[in-house]
Parts: sequence; structure tokens; C-alpha cells
Amino acid sequence: MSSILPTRLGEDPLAITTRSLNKRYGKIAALIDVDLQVPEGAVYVLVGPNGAGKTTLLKILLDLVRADSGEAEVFGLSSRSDGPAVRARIGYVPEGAGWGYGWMRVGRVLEHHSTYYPTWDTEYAERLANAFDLGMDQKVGKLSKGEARRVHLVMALAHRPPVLLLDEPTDGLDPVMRDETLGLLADHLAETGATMLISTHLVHETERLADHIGVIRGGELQAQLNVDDLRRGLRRYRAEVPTGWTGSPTLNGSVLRRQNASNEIQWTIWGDEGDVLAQLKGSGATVREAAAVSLEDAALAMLSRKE
Amino acid sequence: MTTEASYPRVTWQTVAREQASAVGVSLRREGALMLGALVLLTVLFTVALVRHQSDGNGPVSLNLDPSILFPVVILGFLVPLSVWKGEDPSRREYHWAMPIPRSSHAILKVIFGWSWYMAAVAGVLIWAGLIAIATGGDLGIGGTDGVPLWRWIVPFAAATIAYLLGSMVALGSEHPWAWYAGVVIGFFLLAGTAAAANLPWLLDILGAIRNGPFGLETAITGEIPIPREVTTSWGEVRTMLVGVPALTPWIGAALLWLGLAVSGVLAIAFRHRER
Repeated sequence: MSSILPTRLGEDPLAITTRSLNKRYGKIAALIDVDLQVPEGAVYVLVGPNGAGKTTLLKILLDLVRADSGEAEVFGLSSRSDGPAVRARIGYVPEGAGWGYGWMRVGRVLEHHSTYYPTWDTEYAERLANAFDLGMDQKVGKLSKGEARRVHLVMALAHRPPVLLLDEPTDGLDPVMRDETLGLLADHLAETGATMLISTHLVHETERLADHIGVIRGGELQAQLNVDDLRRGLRRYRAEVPTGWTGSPTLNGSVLRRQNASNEIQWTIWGDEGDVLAQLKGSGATVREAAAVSLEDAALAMLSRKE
Repeated sequence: MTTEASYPRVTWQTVAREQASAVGVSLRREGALMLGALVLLTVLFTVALVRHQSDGNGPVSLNLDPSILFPVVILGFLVPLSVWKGEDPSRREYHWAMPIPRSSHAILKVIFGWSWYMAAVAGVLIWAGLIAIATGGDLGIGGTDGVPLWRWIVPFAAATIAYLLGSMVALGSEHPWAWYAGVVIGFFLLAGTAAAANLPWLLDILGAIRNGPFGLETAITGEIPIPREVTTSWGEVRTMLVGVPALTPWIGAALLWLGLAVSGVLAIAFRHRER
């Protein structure tokens, strides 16, 4: 699908890059020519429905899954041939609960994990463990999904990696712990300036952190852009239209989402606000409001765009 | 940007120390079970000996023999399942995600599993030695009447072969038990088919794999089967295959199976290497 939305970022130095990444599982295409660009120090939220290819993309960056073709790099190092060096720089929170050794106790698994990372900050790990209220004597395999997720977050953050790959990091957490987690991630960013790639379908949770967004659907990266550009370029327009109004043909390609409400129509449209307003007025519509959209609404609009 | 040169990486020494400890923790339950079994056996021996003597019989002495270690050698096929517990290939992402080369990391884990297992084999040997000493039995070391020294190496080599063959299964398969069952059932099915269909060449091949000069049984027991005339308890004289210790065939068989097992472990471990 050709995209009216930007799929390439500017010239900022990139922490994570993929080029023409393709991956198939049998007949199913998990990734199709994905060119991901995550700038250094960015919080990049990768949005997509379940099965869109988000987890596969993250796993390819760690070389846990091998792409059929294409390149994946972290700080210019190939995920495939420089795997150990790449993985040393990454803190990873996986999607599932099966991470670490189920037969180890939480305290022992953190100790085990810490030995692999010379940058492990014991004091910080203790602070995180207290904030997450971790029981150190519990067996990892007996933890609930939320408890396991908290352990994974400590494992990912405590070595203060320059890159964090977080796959649904708040999945399974209760609202209070979710808020705590997002606060800790914000603190982590402020302290370390790390690059964060967050895969999620709960965009509203990451709205306060995100500065870049990527939209992936059916294995294709359909958009990636700076959140400021998104807020400037993607607006919601509410207008009254006369009976029998046939629309503005020149706008059709830029309309991401359309909702009808009585005699009003609401569009989410990508493009320069002045141009869009002029075209709507020119087609006979009376524009009542042109407003910015939340990141979640923007993601929803981008994901619900019909081909 | 963090460059390759400037970013701190863990040393192999640190990883090795941690792997030794972590594998030890993973085998703690099995170790405790083995210790419990030895305590139970000691109690049973003691009770049996006391009863034997209280019945007016003379003292009984238990001699130390390498064959005492055979059950522990067989356990070698299963020990790798404990070393890699919860980590069949599809659930090994945590291990693969560590910031060191994967193949070497896997091999390191195999080595430390082997080290703990060898310690257990030695532990059982010491226990058997203590039982022999306590009962006034023969330790069977050296001398013209004793067990030749090389036969004490056999259980350790056999345990290593069993452990490495088991490691191939644990490292490479999602369903190790299906492999074990498949190999045993497949072997007997083939043997049965060969006998029923009168296929001597197939029987010869299966026999060679099992207890031929280079067979697995030869490698594990240090003995080769020799036809001998044996008088049965009811007085009948029959020709039977009797295991006779034989150094040269054992060396050949042990080296062959060790080579196969080491090659298998390396091949499987290097499937996931960085390229």
C-alpha cells in the first residue's frame, strides 16, 4: 500500500535501523520491506494490532528471530553478525512471561542476570525492585504475568542500557503499577538519555513519553514520524455539509478516518491545515472545528485507514 | 553513539563462574535426591548386614567394583534434561539473549553440567569405597588380583558419553523423551523385523551398534561379549555371550562414541551462532 504518511525520518543520527527487512512464517508474511528508523535518544512507539509484526521486529533486533532478508542494526552494529555487542547494549522486556529461569528465585535470577552486564547498577536495581514491590524469594515460574513483567523491567533497566526494547511493557500490570512503571521509565530516560523502542497497542499509556511513532499493519510499516510533525499534520475536522454533499475529491487520498454524526461529518485528515480547510470550504462544507488529535486517536486513524 | 570499543562487556571468566553456580543450582534437587538414595542404601545395607550377623552368620564384606557405577552412568542420559530444564529450543530465548556468543555459551553450560555430574559419579564411587572399607571389603585398586586401573576410568568415560549423547537431545530437541523412547523402541522394532524377516545383515548392523567392538555397550562397560560355555544351575552346558574386560576394543569404542557425541553437541550448539 502506498502511504500518504511519512515513512522516513530526517537526518538525525539513528540508534536503530532496519533496511528492507522481510520475514515470513510459512505462508504468512510477518514483515514486508520494513525500514525502521529510531533516532538516538528517541522514545519511539511502535503501534499495531496483534499479529502486525511488532514482536518479530523486536526479536530480529536481538537476533532471536532471523530475517529472511534485509539488515537490522543497533548503533551501526549488525544484529546478526555483532549479536553479543548489540545485545550488551539492549535492555529487553519480552512480550511473554517465560523469561529467565522458572526454577530460580527472583533474587537469584536478578543476581544471575547482573553478572552478564558489567554496567549493572546494584543500587538502582534495589530501588527498582522496591518500587515494583518484588518478592525476592518467589520462584520466577510461579509469578503472575504482572509480577513477571516487573521482574523483566528490573532486568532490562538496571544495567542502564543505551537502548531499551519494550514489548508491551505494561501488559498485565494493574493501573497503579502501570503508572509507577511509566514514571520509572520517564525517570530512566531523564537519567540516561536512552533510546526506547516500545511496542504496544495501548498507545494512550505511552503518550506522555513518546516523541516518535511508527505504525505497522500486516507486516508493513505504514508510517513513522516525529510526534510533533504528526500533531501538526494530522488534524480532526468537524464540518456541517449540505444535503447530497458528495465530498471533496482532492482530499480523499488524505482522509484517514471519517465518522458521521447527524448532519455533521468528522474527518481525520493528513495535510497542511490551511490547504485542507480551503478544500473543505470549496466543496461546500462549513468547517466548525479543526483540532489536534491525541496520539491514540492518531494511531487509531492511521490503523483504520482503508486501502 | 556508543562504540564497540567503549562499551563494557562481560568477561568469559565471569560467565564461567556464574554458569558453574547456576548449573549447580539447577541440579540441586537431583543432587539432593541422589544423596537421599545413598543414605537410604547405606541404611538398608547396615540393616541387612546386622540381620545377617545376628542370624549367626559370619561377617560379610562388600568389595568395590567399577560396575557399581553403572546405574549412575545410565543417569547420564537424563542429567542434561535437568541442566537445560525449562529451556527446550523454543523456550531458550533468555539464554540466546545474553550478551555473549551463543554457541560458546551453550557449550559452557554443557561443560559445567558435565563437571557437576562427574563430581556426582566420583561421589558415588567414594561412597562405595567407604562401604567397602567399613565392611572390610577389597577396594580393588591395582595389584595382580585387583581391578586394572583402566577399568576405573571406564565409568567416567561412559558417563561422559551418556551425558554428551543426552546433551545432544536436550540441546536440539523440543521433545527429548520422544527421542529416547523413539530410539529404544525403533531399535527393538528393527531387531524384531530383522529376525522375523530373516535379514542377517540388519541384525549384524544392529548388533555392531549395540555390542560390537565399536558398540555403545562396549564403550559403556569396557567389556566385549565372548562366547563361553556356561553350566546352568540345572546342569545344562550352554554357549553364551559373556562380557570380558578388553582394553583395546574399549579404547576404540569409547573414542568413537565420544567423538560422535562431541561432534553432535558442537553441531547443535553452533546451529545458533552469530554469522
